[in-house]
Amino acid sequence: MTDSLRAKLVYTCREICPMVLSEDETKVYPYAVYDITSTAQMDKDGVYAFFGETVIRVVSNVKSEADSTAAAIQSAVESAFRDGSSNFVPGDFSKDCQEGIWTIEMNYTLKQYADWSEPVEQTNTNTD
Amino acid sequence: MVQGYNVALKINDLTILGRTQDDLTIAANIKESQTKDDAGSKQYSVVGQEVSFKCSALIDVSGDTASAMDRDSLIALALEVGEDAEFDVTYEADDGDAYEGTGIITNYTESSNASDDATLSVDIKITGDFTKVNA
Repeated sequence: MTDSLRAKLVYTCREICPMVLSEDETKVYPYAVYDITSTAQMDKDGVYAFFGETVIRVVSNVKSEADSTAAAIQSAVESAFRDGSSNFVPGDFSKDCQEGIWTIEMNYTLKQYADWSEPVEQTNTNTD
Repeated sequence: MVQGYNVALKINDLTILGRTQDDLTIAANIKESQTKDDAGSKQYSVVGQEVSFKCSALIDVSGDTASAMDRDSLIALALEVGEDAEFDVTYEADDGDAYEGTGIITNYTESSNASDDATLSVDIKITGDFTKVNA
């Protein structure tokens, strides 16, 4: 089994806002900075899961935009990671404003129990 | 050096599904004696052994039960009485010697909190001899 927590998280939130690593932060709001530290879980027959300590920080200069983006990410993550082959445990949630920039931080423990790969987008070949 | 995953306890030739730990304990049954000639120092002699195992596993309800014993089978075994509660135990360690005996479940525990994976724990006691398997 290979660790696909990061790829699934980015795929899940791809249409909500840009998901970037901390070194790629910009001034184009809103965006979300994420980080995952994942560890393999072993039983005697090998790796059976990956658990990832995840921090997602939504950044925006408009409070309502930060709130709605964070809510959308929260909903998408909680839906995508409760599908039978993955799970999550919600952690701390905090909101902060510094010099007009709103930051909403969400923590999760994401759990992956089976291989995952990005779905192949279906192209419509129907010419009718 | 033997890796932990190469040590396997088997119940009726099946490992436990999602097994994470097997602990073997061999405790000596001792007889104590003291005579005046011992001058205050007790004497002990070994008259036999008590062999027991403690096994831990993750609760997996969708795994392959053809090669491993799942939680439901373990609970069924733990609820048996008399001779039906007895089963074959083999204990192997990589290229080391293997041992066998007849076991009974003396304790079965499940643990399931809100955030972690559910786990089970089984205590097994060997009834009768626990002997080395001839190669």
